[in-house]
Amino acid sequence: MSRVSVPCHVKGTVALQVGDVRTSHGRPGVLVIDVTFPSVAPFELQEITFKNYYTAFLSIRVRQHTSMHTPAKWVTCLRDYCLMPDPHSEEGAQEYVSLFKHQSPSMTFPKWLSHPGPCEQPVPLLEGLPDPSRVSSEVQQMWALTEMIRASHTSARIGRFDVDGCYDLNLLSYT
Amino acid sequence: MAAVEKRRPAVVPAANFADSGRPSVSRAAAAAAESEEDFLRQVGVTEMLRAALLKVLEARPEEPIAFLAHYFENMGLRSPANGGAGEPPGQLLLQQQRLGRALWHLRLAHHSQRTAFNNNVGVAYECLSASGRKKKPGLDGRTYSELLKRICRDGEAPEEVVAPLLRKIQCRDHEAVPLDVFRAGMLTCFVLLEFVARASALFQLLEGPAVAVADRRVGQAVLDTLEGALQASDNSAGPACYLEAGSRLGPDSLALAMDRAMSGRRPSSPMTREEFLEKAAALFIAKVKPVG
Repeated sequence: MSRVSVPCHVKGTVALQVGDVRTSHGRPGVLVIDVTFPSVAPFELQEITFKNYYTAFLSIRVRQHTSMHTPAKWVTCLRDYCLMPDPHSEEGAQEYVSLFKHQSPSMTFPKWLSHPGPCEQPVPLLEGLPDPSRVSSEVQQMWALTEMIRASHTSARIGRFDVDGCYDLNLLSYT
Repeated sequence: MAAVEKRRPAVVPAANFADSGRPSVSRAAAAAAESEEDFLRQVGVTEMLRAALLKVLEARPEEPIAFLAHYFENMGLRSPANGGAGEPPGQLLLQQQRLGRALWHLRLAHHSQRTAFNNNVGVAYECLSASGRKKKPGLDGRTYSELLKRICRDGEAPEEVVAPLLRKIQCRDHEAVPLDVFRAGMLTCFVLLEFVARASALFQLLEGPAVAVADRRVGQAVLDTLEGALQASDNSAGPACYLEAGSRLGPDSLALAMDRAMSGRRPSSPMTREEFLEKAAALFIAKVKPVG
């Protein structure tokens, strides 16, 4: 079966922004690009190719019509795929990227595997290292408890009149 | 049939058969029930149970039975213990009783149940400030400091771990401690105990299999990440600092930090639980405002 380009319509980018667009400064960090396929005939998507322009992470969500009777669902095929190992450097900023489909027979939706891209992903769970999600949970709780105490300082004073930590009456009487 | 009145003034003896018209069995049963209820009221059990149920309703604990068990266990503190030697038994005993009672109040609600906790703090403060024969009204710094030490000791926090906190929030022996300072001190103490418990659980995740120590590189990396997140909150305020902390303390960035630490050139060396807890607690205590 030969590969054929599928005609698609790429809509303009929409910025995801918290707060008032008019008054907030700076540019938002998340942009959404909608891609639609006007042709009605069903097809199997094999590859997505594009040229990056200073995007660090990419997520792809697909809305699939599985059958005529069930409503279409949104499925995340790719989550936070790293295109630029360091967002503040040039590496990967203007690379051509190809993402391939890897059909997994047990799944009902295509499972996307990232093609070895220009960057190397760090392996999240190595042998012999503690479980990062459990470590993260404890550390976050510790952070929250500390933040709570930092925020709950009392303005009440105990009414000391120290001079250099000294309670000496003679010293105090000279100030 | 004889109706059982709930509030008869006196206990009716079971052997009273003055009214021959009424069946004696029901009269005796009524009398027995009456004497039981009176007995409970007279020994104070009715009032005690009512107070206990009110406390459960206020605290809404996750495990009510265990809560009630601890509640009644601590009731033992209310009964006078054997007097101590040396000092006049009244004074020392009274002091210990007050401390015990205050501690009991403070433990009834978790610090996260803020309203209940603050109520209990108020009651504990009043209990400690009550004037005695030789004691003037108000809470003195010495009692306050002793209470802080007791709380930390009972909470199984190592002394070296809590010592820096006590230095920050203790009051001098003869200073009068106002309620606000007392409340802040109690909250800080109990929150620190929870912090140390979490740090202990964290250490258990980090420690090697079958050994009671953790790899120093990994332990230090985790602590440094936490310190970094806390410092970021110093610089920014509001939602930005939560986002920053969330990203720094997420599983991915922690995994990265630990991985980097392990693959560094420094050789592995052990870190004990005590050292880890001391260093972790220091991060917390640094954010505590000292008494002044």
